[in-house]
Formats: sequence, C-alpha cells, structure tokens
Amino acid sequence: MALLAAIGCSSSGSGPSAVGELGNGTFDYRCGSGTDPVCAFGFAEAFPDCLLEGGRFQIEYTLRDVDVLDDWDRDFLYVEPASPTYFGGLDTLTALRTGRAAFVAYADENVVDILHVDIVAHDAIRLRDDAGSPIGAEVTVALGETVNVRAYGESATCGMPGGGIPITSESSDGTIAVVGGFDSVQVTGVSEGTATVTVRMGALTQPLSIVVVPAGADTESAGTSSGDDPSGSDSGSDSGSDSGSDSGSGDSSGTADTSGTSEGSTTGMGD
Amino acid sequence: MARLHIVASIVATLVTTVMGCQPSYGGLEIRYLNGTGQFSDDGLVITEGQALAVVVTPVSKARYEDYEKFDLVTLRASDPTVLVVSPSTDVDRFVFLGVGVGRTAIDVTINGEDVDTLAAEVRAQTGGGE
Repeated sequence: MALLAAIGCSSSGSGPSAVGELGNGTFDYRCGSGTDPVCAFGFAEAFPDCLLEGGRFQIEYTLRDVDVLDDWDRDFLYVEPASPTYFGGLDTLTALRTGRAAFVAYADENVVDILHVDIVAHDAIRLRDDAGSPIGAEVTVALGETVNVRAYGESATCGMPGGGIPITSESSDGTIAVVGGFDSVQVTGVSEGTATVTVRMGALTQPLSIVVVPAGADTESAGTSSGDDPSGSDSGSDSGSDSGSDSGSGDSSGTADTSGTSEGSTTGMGD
Repeated sequence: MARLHIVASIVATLVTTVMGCQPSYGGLEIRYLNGTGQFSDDGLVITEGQALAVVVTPVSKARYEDYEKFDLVTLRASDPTVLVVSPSTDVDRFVFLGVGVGRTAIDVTINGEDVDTLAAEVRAQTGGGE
C-alpha cells in the first residue's frame, strides 16, 4: 500500500501530475532520490514519460471530485501497483522490470482510478553539476576541496524518465581523490594528480577523470565541458583498482573510505 | 367443488406469472472503459501488470424480463495471485488486475446467487512493454 493521498489538495492538475484513466483525479509523482532525472532540482518538474527500471519514486493520488466516493471512507485513499511483479516497496516504490504496468488508486476496497506507465531500462548515465549543467569527461578539483557530481539515468526510448536509480562510485587512486556521498558523488581532492572516478548505476558505469590542482588554482574553466553527449556509459564491469563492493546487497553506508570507494543507496526491492 | 377448482387454477396461473417475471441469466454484457484486455466465449485474457476497467451488465434469457439496476452483480477471482477483480466507483463497474501469469476462474453471482463461472487468463508481457 503506497502513500495516503490528501483529498482536495490544491496541486491537482498541475505540475508532476497525470490524470487517471478513469478521470476521477490525478496521480502525483514524488521524487524517490537525488538521482531521479525528473527531479534534477530536488522536486518533480513534471510527471515522467516513463519510469526507469530499478528507479525509486513515490506516487500519490488526488481526487478531482470527492463526490465520486459516494458513501465510502473518504479518508482512506491509497495507491498500489496492479502487480507486485512490476513494482516493489511500500511508500517508496521501485520499478522492478521493464514493461507496461498500472497503478491503482483505491478508496477502501474500491478502485477509483488507474494509470498505466512504461518502464524502460536506462541505457546511459548523465553527469551534471549542482547547477544542472552537464559535466564532460573531466572535472578539476582544488586540493582539499569537494565537488558534487550528480548522476541520472537516461533512456533513448524515453524523453523524460523518472525514478532514482541507486549509484555507487569509486576512485582509481584514493591518494589523489576520494569519493563519498549518498545519492550524488562527492569528489574531494587529496593530492595533486589525476584519478578516474567510476560512477556505477545498475549495470552501467561512467568514468570521470578528476584532475586535482593546487589549492587556489582556477578550477572553473575545466570543471564542466561539452556535456551534451550522454553516451559513454560502459556496460559491464570496470577494472578500477578498488574492490568496488557494489554487489547490490542493500547496505547504505554512504560514506567515503580511505580506499576511495563509496557505496550508494540500496538497490533492488526497495523498502 | 367447481369453485375450489377455479380458485386453484387462478392461484396456479398467478404463480406461473410471477415465476416468469424473474430474469433468467443468459450471460454478461461487458463494456470496456480503459485498458487492454479481451473477453470472448473462452473467457477473459488480460496482461500481467495491467488493469482493465469495465462496465458489467447481466443479460437475461427471459424475453421481456431484463435485469434491473438494483440487481447486484459480484465478480470474484478464484486465485488472487493471478487475477484480482475489484469493485469500482459504481455497482456495475469493475477493474480486473493482472497480478501474475496464470489461469483462474471468475465466479459470477447475481443477488448473492451463483450464476456463472468464467475462465480467465493472465498472460506475460512480450517485449519491453505493451
């Protein structure tokens, strides 16, 4: 059972909402994590065109007209997936497999509305800075400073996907740059030199070259560049020197260690 | 004696007439509201993970005697791990949910009386979506 929805909320019909197929109200999208591509600024900008397999999100429902409920319990309105095969979790749902699947809004045991969505696999990882600008293949970090890199899943078959896929990251050389962060990649320059940070999202990886320069040096010019091409994600495993314990077992330490490896959020079945 | 016979005949005629007023179940008329699914003589076929909203109207075999709005139809799937039938926003509206791949049956009752059993199948999705 997913989120209880507030009846008569003012957000109906605008923003990250999609009208239900029975026309009784709107399904409202809520960000699942910081890696959700439709939530680049911390809130859902629109209802996504599709959901990414492995992505996390929340769905609420707002009635357009409370009279549709007749005599039922109007305070007990909730959303559930039609099948647990396609969505797992409770409040925060996870898209488990590709296909087309339905959300169902209930009042008591009665179905009030339905919404079908497509679930697609991500085929690329897009890296952006905190301002939302694409990041190129290289980022310059001043010694002792930390930059934040955000990672979002993309799909060539979906214009605006939704669902935050958990990420992990690791540094090729923890003596030069270490990584941390939970649903973003925080890169800290430890000593001058160059290291490669590998961001992993599901089966894909995205390398990012980190150049650590002396403290006080200009890092603006090399920080972002020509990031329009989202491709470059590698399928399969990379060969970084760190162990990369991203087995998907579900721990969520979210902290950097001295080896330069950061384990992100949980994967798989959700809550 | 003749008078008694006449009365008995009248009573028998009335009983017959009253019995004849009852609709005789002849099937269900199903109108789709949304979604994809398929009803046929073989039953319902729906896709796993998807939902199909319908309006269900019982059809009477008895001539001139149709079911009324207050005749309450209920549908219930035998195996809820395969198919769930949920009531919707009106008494004649139902939503079929393809929960898991498999076959099951849908029990149909009208006014609490079992009148039919429909076959139902939930099929796996093919490709990346449907």
